[in-house]
Amino acid sequence: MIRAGAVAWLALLVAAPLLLVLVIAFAVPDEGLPPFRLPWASEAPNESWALLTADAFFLSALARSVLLAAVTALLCVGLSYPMALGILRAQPRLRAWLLGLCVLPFAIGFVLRMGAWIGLLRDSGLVNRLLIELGLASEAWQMLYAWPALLAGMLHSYLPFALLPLYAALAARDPALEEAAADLGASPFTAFCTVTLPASAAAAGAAFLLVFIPAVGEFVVPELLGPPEALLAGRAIWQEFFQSRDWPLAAAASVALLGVLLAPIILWQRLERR
Amino acid sequence: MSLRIEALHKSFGATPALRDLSLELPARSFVAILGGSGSGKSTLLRIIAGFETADAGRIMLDGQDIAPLPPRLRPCAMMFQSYALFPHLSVHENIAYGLRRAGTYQAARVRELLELVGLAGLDSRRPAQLSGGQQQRVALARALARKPPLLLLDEPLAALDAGLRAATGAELRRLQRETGTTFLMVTHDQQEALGLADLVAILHGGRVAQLGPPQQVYARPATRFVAEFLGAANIIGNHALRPENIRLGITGTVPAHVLRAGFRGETWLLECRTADGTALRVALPAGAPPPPEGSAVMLSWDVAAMVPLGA
Amino acid sequence: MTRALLALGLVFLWAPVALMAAFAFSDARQPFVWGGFSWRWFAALAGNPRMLEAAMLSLGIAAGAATLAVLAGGALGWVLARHGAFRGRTLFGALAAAPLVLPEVVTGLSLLLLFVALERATGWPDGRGVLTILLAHASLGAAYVAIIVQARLSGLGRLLEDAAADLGATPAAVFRTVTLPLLLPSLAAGWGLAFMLSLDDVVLASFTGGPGATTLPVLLFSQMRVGPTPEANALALILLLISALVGAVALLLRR
Repeated sequence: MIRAGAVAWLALLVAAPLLLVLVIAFAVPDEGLPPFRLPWASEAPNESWALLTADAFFLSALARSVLLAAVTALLCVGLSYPMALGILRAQPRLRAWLLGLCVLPFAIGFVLRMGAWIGLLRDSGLVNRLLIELGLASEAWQMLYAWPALLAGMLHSYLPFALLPLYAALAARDPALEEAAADLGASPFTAFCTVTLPASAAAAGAAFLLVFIPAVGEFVVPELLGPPEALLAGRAIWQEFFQSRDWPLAAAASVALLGVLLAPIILWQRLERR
Repeated sequence: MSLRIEALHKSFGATPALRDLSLELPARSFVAILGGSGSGKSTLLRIIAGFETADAGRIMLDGQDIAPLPPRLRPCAMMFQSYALFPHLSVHENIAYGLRRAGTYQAARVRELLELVGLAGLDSRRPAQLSGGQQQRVALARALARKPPLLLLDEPLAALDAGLRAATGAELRRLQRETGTTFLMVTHDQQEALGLADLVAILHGGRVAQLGPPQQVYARPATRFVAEFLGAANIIGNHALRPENIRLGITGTVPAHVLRAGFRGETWLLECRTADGTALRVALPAGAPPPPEGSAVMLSWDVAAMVPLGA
Repeated sequence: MTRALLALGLVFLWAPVALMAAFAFSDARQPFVWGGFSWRWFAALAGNPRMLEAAMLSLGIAAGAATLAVLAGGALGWVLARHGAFRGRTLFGALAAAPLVLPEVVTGLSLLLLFVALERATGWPDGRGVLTILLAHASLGAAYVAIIVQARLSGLGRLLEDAAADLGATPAAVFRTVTLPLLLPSLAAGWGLAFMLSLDDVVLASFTGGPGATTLPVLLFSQMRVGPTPEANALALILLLISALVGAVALLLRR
């Protein structure tokens, strides 16, 4: 009975919606509500796929998204390692509080956090005013709506996705391994590179993918902080859907995005199951 | 109450755990099932308790086959190796658990059980606040609460410190006598089995290799496996000879020389080699120093001490 | 070295948030400009009906979605941990974890297409609004609850349940007296996580919401597109204080 209910839930709210995306990716846009005709109910051929691949517009958006997500995930994992180790080297009763301190900024919600970055980085923002006041700049630097601001926002949004699983993996590791390495003459850095890092490689890989996969489709952060001309996959889908009202094209772009993510998603599920 | 296990068979995939195992326990006895890892002893206990289903065979409890019954309807109770105390319930509620399920809960009965195991007054503690020995007693009291005719004990002393083991073992023995419950204990520890039980069943490869009183299985091992599993044994041809049954002196019938002497606490265990190359282990009381390594000695033993072995 | 980087990371995480909280008390009309101490933005927040309405709506949706997510996710986690191998187990596991990794825009679009198709086929749901957002958030939250419940059940194993059955408990009694109490902290954690996910979501609510149902994050998102406001700073401080309080209480209670 429980299993039947669980299967029904997944069938209705996960499987069916994804199948619908696949079907409507081959539908034809139409006036009306909903604004498409199903592939078998329309004489006109589906043009979404031709549109997607006709020029480099969407494909380069997809490539840009993958690059941004990879850099974000790399930075998140790279920063999470020392942070998690730093927490674990604190006194045991301090650890939970330090971890709480790392997670608390996320409690205000990421829209407001992105708002804070806007307030700091925009032309009339706090940083520019400070730079001008200190005489370090004569006029405002354009920091917002540029790649560094976007990267800062992405890192700020996704850090806990890497930090928490890495912390859990590193907390569960056997401290005797590093002690054994030190006993055998390894410096702390060598011990980290030769013992801790390989022993937590699977967790690091999972953490990387846990950031990378959702980051490829990220919409809100690029919309608020990123350069307006840099089109990304998430924004492309959003625009096709809300502005152009071309649902089949949005669905086709979603399928393309999922196609790119399929291998990382399967790899992540493998790593998680270990 | 008597328990008769008839031709029990169980395989996990292609690996047989129990092969046509039969065993009969007299009422009110303390029986130890002794075996190494992979002998099938834990599987046997889990099948009697009902957590595993046998592929074939019957489990007759007072003439009734309990094999088709779910665990909750079986009259036996189990004491788990890791105790399996409910961490979210107090000591009192842990012991009361079975009584409440049966609708026979009385606070006085729980207190009586706590007293029986020497934990009076610890009602409101949580399991995590108890020492290992105390947890063991709570588990015992919980299993005994409904006065089961048969108590299954899975390695009851394994999780305890060596110092606690002897005292707790004696305690088990006392409780078994006082309550008149049949105890079926699974263990891998020979000393524990020989020291506590009325009957010892040695399990090997999913079968009962030998069943008998401790003195008998030790002195008259039925197979080579039993002889070697229960303490040190010299195997000569198809006979077993215990090291303590070999005499060492100036006179004797078998010349040998000493290879090594190992100290065992109460005894020295000498490794000797006879003139024809046979290795023999000889136990000596630890009071005197052993002959030096390499020295020549004469060995002798009674022919009656040679135990013929079956397959 | 790790300490220095931990400190650096904490500064990076906290700098924008702390500045936001500090400037909540600034009298200036421009956010992030100091114009003397003032409580006025808290008063302004309290007197902003759109914001309050959106906040109440979001809290209601989050509570409902979290509750539904705990029920559904609990069942998913149970099946994953306790039903062993059954036909389609791999597909079941992949679908249960899918919302964790699918890009939000894809999940949002897919659920919208589902609701549109359902409405066309059955007449339900009648338009999009609170209910559809709630279902979308529950679908996401259930995936997280499932992971937590599965991990807890696998960690517990069957030992305690076996012990309860051995002591005469019926399967229903085993669940009520042993499994459920031991699962409760995980279910509470899952509820909290699903609640937070719902309160933090812009994309799913944008796709599956209607004109009548603007959640707080969606409202804030449309405001932030124009630029931050001092009222938002005040709101951030309030949220920060509530979360700090809840977090501290949770940490202290764990002792």
